[in-house]
Amino acid sequence: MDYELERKRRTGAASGFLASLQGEQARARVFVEQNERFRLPADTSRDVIMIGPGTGVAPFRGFVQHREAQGATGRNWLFFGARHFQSEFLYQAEWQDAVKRGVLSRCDLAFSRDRSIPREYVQDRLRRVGKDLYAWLENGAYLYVCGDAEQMAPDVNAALIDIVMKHGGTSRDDAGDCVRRLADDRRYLRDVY
Amino acid sequence: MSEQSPVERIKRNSRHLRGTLVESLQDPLTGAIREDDTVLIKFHGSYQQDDRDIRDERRRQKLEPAYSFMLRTRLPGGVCTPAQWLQLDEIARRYANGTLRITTRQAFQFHGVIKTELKATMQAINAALMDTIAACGDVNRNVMASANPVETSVHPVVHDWAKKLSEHLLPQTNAYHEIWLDGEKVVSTEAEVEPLYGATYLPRKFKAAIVVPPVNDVDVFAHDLGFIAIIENGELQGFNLTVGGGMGATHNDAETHPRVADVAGFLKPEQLLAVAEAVLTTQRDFGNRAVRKRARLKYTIEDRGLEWFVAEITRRQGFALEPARPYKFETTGDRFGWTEGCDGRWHLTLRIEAGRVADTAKGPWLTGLREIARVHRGDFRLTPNQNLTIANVDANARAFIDALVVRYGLDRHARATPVALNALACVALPTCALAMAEAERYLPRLAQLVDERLAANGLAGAPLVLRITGCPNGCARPYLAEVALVGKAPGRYNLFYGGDGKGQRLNALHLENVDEPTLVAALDAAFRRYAGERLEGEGFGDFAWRAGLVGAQAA
Repeated sequence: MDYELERKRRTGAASGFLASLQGEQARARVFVEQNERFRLPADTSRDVIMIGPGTGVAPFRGFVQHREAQGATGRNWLFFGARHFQSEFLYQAEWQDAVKRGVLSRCDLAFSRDRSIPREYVQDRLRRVGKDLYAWLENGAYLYVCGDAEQMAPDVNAALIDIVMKHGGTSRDDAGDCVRRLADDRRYLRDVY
Repeated sequence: MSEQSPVERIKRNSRHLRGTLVESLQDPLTGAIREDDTVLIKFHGSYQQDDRDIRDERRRQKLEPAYSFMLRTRLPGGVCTPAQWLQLDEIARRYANGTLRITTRQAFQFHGVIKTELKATMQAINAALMDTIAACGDVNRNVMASANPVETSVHPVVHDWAKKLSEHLLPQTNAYHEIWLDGEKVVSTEAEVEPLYGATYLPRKFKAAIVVPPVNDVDVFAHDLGFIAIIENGELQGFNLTVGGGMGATHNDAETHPRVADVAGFLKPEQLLAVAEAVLTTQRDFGNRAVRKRARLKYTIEDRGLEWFVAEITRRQGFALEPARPYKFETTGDRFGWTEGCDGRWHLTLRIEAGRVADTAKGPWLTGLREIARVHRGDFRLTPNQNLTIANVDANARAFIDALVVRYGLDRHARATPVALNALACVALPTCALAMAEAERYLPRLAQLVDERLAANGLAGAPLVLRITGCPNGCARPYLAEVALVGKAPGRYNLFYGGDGKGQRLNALHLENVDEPTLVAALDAAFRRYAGERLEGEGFGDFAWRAGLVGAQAA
């Protein structure tokens, strides 16, 4: 990726680096950061909730494709967020197709900088559909969060606690415990960076 | 009822044009509306489009097409006030792509409105005391009327009839108000909802126009329904009725073709609405609902005969037409520059190439017209040639308007060649889904090429009606031009010669599938012959037939 904007040359971080390597013997060292726990449930009848705004949506492509290949009977629910609907809805055509074919039961979106719709982040969206989300969790769903570690992940965590509190009718402390237990049970998994 | 086009089913099941538009607008996953709703939204004055320049790139990025919506205003006779112009200018900059597009049917078009802003845009148009009802779809479309007739005292009369006709033939359904304007749902029986159109509206689009000779700016013979104003001693005596004109065709399909309307008789002014209704309902009842490309009134008349048609409308309207009265057309072009009105006020007609009002390298036209609208006390008229008339300017305001016109580069009419002045182009790419080739974006270069070939053959400044469309639907009325390009594929066109410059005769195919070098060579050869062999005062279109460039004897 290499383009000019406002008279400045801009290149993609990874693609720019790779493109700059010279010579036939050019090598780059690649590391895989393992995340052993971030795996789909072995029990394919379990529902799966995926929260992946921005680049965090990346692993969920594979998740949804894998679930379909497995013939999983559990439902799939994706939450995606970005700044602009028209340019940043990553893999839009694939998600539309998945919804159309029923592979994705639900797809909730949040766009924060589109002029004509209310500014929303993925955690706002979660709260809006909190009742259904809580029902899925009660039903044994697995919940995955992928993406920004600094703001999104804590905000989503706070939203989950709010949702448990509101729809589970518990105190904030108990809701916090509940969410922690989900994590301990490996039903609330995160890949954040 | 068997074997009807699928569009008929969509209309019938739509609960008078509601369909699932409300749900479609609310679907956050896509910038598009559901497929059936794309048919219905036309009746509401909108087309779903996408930016075709970036279609491939978006597909590679796994993004859906860059959907947006075109909105077209209903504007009988193309007349609007300065206050309305200012509101439309703001809508263009806020919700659309920053341009106002004047169409070949005297309406405004907005391009680039996204789905989530569609309702707000509709409401903003409504706030300007305008609507988009029936600007597209199987209904009577925008009613045209001569913009700047020589007989200037007749303009208000004719404009008034255009408004009356538009309102009389308007769909009655409350769907438009419910969906866009938050109107209350009204419960009524079917017969009440659409007394004129019924549940399935017309078989196809229906276009009406009123014209004041000797200028045939509206191209009356291209319309399904036309009224030729007959003026005697400055007074409107009545109209000659014309029926069955239409531009559309499909490449390589002889079942489809453009047609020039027939003159059917004469009627008194007060009979206009009854006659219009008779024509429209006859088409409603007898038009082809199985094959959409044979659905226009022109085919109904061809299939059943003009005599049958006149008998049918006579029966419906309850009186006979009188014999048609004499009339004469001299041109289809606009009268550029200043012309004097009947009451001492003045009209200034500006050249707006392809009707695209925008701030571009050609000049800050959008800004300039906004400034003019701020001070203008008369009205604006969109012309059928995609130009703009600043109408009813007080004599003592002329200099002020002139200064603004010059300042913002709006005075092209003072310098352009006749070819450049009178050329028409439809929008085509990047927004029109039907375009096979460029039109509007190619027009400047095309006009220049034509002028160069004319000049090279000693014909510099020769008048010639040139039109280009991106596909054979013919929205810029190419089949009546002296020279026309009709798009076939990117960079390739069918080349037609032979209109009469007055909109009374169809042209004919000269060469198929030409690219630019072939076009230039063809024009060069044709103009060389024209220069050498033409009769005194003979137009190029007339010459093309006489010299055998088109027609049965064409080589």
